[in-house]
Amino acid sequence: MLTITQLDLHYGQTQIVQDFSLGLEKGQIGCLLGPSGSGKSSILRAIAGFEPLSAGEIAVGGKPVGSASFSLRPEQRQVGMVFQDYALFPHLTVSGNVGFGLFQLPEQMRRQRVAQMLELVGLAALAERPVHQLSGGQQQRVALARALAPAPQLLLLDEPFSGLDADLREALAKDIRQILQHEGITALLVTHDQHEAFAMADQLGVILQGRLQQWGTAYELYHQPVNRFVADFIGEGHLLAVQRDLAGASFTALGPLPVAVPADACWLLVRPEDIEHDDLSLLKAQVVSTAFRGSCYHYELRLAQGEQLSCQLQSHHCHSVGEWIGIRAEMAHWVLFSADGCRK
Amino acid sequence: MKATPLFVNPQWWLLPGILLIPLLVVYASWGQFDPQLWTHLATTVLPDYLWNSVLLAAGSGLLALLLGGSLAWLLHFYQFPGRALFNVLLILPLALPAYIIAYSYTALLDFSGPVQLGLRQLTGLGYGEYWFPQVRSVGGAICLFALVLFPYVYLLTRASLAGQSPRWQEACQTLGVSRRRYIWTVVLPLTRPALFGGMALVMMEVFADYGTVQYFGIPTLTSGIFRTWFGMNDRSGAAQLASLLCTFALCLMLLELYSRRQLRFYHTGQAGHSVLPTRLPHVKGWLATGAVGLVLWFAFFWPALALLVWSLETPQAWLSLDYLQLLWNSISLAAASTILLLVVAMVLVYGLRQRLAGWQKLLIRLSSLGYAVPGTVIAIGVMWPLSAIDNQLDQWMEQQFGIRTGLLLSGTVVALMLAYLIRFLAVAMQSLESGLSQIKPSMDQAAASLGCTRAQVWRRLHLPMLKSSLWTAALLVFVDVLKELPATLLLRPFNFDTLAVRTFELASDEQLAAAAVPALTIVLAGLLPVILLNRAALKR
Repeated sequence: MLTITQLDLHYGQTQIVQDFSLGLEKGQIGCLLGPSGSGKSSILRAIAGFEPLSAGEIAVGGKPVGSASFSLRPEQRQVGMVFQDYALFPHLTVSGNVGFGLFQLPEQMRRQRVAQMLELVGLAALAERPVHQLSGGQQQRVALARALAPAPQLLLLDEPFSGLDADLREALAKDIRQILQHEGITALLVTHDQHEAFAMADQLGVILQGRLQQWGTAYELYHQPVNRFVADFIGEGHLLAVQRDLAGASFTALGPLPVAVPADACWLLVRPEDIEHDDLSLLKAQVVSTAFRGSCYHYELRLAQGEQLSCQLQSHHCHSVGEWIGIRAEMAHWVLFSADGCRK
Repeated sequence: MKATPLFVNPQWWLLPGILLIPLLVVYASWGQFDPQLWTHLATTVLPDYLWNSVLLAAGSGLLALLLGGSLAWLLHFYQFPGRALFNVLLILPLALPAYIIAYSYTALLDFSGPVQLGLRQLTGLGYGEYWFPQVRSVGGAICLFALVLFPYVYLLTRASLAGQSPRWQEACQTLGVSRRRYIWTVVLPLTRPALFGGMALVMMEVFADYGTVQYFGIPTLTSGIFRTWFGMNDRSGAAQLASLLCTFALCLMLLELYSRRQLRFYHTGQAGHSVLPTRLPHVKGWLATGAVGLVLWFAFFWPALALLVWSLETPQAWLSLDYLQLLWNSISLAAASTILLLVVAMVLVYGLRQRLAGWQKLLIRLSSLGYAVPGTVIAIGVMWPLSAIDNQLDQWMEQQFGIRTGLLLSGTVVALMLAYLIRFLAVAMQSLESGLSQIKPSMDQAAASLGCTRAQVWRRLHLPMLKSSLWTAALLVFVDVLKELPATLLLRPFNFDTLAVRTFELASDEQLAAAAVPALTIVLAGLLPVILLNRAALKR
């Protein structure tokens, strides 16, 4: 439904997006994940038609809508958008906003569609309210309903939850995913919050400094990051240096590596869940800091050689800072990176 | 929390209460209803007064709406040669009080003025052989009011357009809505409150005007009040007429308040990088430049330059003792009034910040109604109670001590300053309030937790943070007092002339060239707040 090939974007002389390609199937929900300033919002705006392309091509529904030489006007693209600040029209009521893009429909059908949309987002009771009387979450839903009403081919969501508090975020993300799936909408979401991304998307892309680093499922991004940047950005974890003894066998501060290690592998990714507490283990680590997280305790640890690790233990386990505890590595995957950060 | 007893903080109910008395007095005057007077008025002049007042206000309002609205539109959406300069210059007309532009244009366009003189020399025609528009007419007054007052509409509309989120246009585009449709269904409805708010301000100013209509000989409510007071010597009649005028003005204020409330919801507060103005192609661009330039020429530069030329015809007038005396009178009066205004405004604004009872806050809000009320009305409302007090005091003193005190309050600058206080309190309160809103209650609490007493908090935190709004308020109020004509005319002590009064008197005596010196002084002073406004706008 959405195909982006080798997209380049510039702001004046500064290149903000480079060689970006992506494909979304019909009904799929994609997400671009990256820190602020990574260029992800610019990509979204380019798809909507608000940013000129320096190179590459964007096609929606198999039809090209933009390239370096040609750009279909935003109003002709049939691409809906939910803005970060919602951009609701303050002089209109909820139903006025939702019906705003339906001006071509006759009155009767328009009213029907608006009612249907409001039903969908659960705001039927508030149809005649002015929008400034709504709460943040309700405004969000109005923005979604407004974008969905003209039945766009593709829906874009720009940091849709950033203005909301954490509880509401999670609930809304789940609701909206259900609505989109139920309606079979193809959507692309942009966010810097990975929990939000995991909750909403089928496929995710991590963008750093204008480049797509990896495109895959949440599982792949977390457990099989293609490089150090992705490993760093997604989830928690530490890198341990890979060393070699005289015989050529590889080992880290956790002990010998039981898998074949490529010659140029320098770093091993260790996630908190890879480390288990074991009083009997000979490997000891000192507790540097602790953080209570309800279901578990998060510990920052330091090994005898000074390397850092983290682990999560059941919250019934209590260890004080400075204490030495026995640990054991239970690696599900062996993720190794070369010196320049590439996956080995 | 227990309510504090009223006598602890009398400044927050007694003070605003006193400020409201003149308005109440004006309405209370209906208690002395004189049917004979009103039959007389109603059969003779009253219909004229009402019709002219409404016609002038509505005509100037509409013309200013068209002028200010289209200029704001042009400058917001389009790029053309000189746009950056126009951004700065277009509020200059606000520096010209309407009565001054009226004298200036009369001198320019009258039979003996340079324009008609040139026309006669060019064509060889004589008196009565050609048609020329009469400046001293209702139509002329409407045009002049619109020329100097359109910046109210222009400024509010510009601010409203700039405050509209560029996301709205993008949202429209993603919904498949065309630009034309976006403008009609989103931009226009969202700008409407600003347009009407500006128009309401223009109409308030027109209702308040005395200098122009009196000079043009147009019978309106304001000039009617003067006539009833001085000509017919009927105070309650004048006050009753004033109450009519006041009602008109208060209705306009409601319209203005309503539109301001709407705008608050409409502005997102996050302007972001707004949509870039479209470049007008060559010829169209220069046409736009010419049109805006023409408006500026007629609304400011021509009348102001004419004043400059006339004032330089008699350069010694700038140094005459008479002029220096006028200058001293005006400046000392304005400075004293400014200080009084700032102190009162400060007290009231701090009251709004306290946990006061609802009715007390309402009272404080009501006490700043004066900005909508014409100076004439306020003057009459001040005059009446003060002279009543004077008379009582005089009688009492004579009975008790055999001393006659005469007019202690009503015939002195006290009355004048009280009138200014009521008229311009809102101006001072508004800028102080916006300054005070920057000081969050948490800052007070932080200072207190660091060991500051309340006095120290005020001196070390509030005063430095309020400094710029205090100066802004002082400047705005100072110039407003300098320009105020009708209240000064009514209340000034015997033989006490100010720049505005002298300008009016000289112009009424057809000594337009001599009026140029004090008039130009007022214009120059008026430029100060305009420059200030501009700098504030540019900062944004």
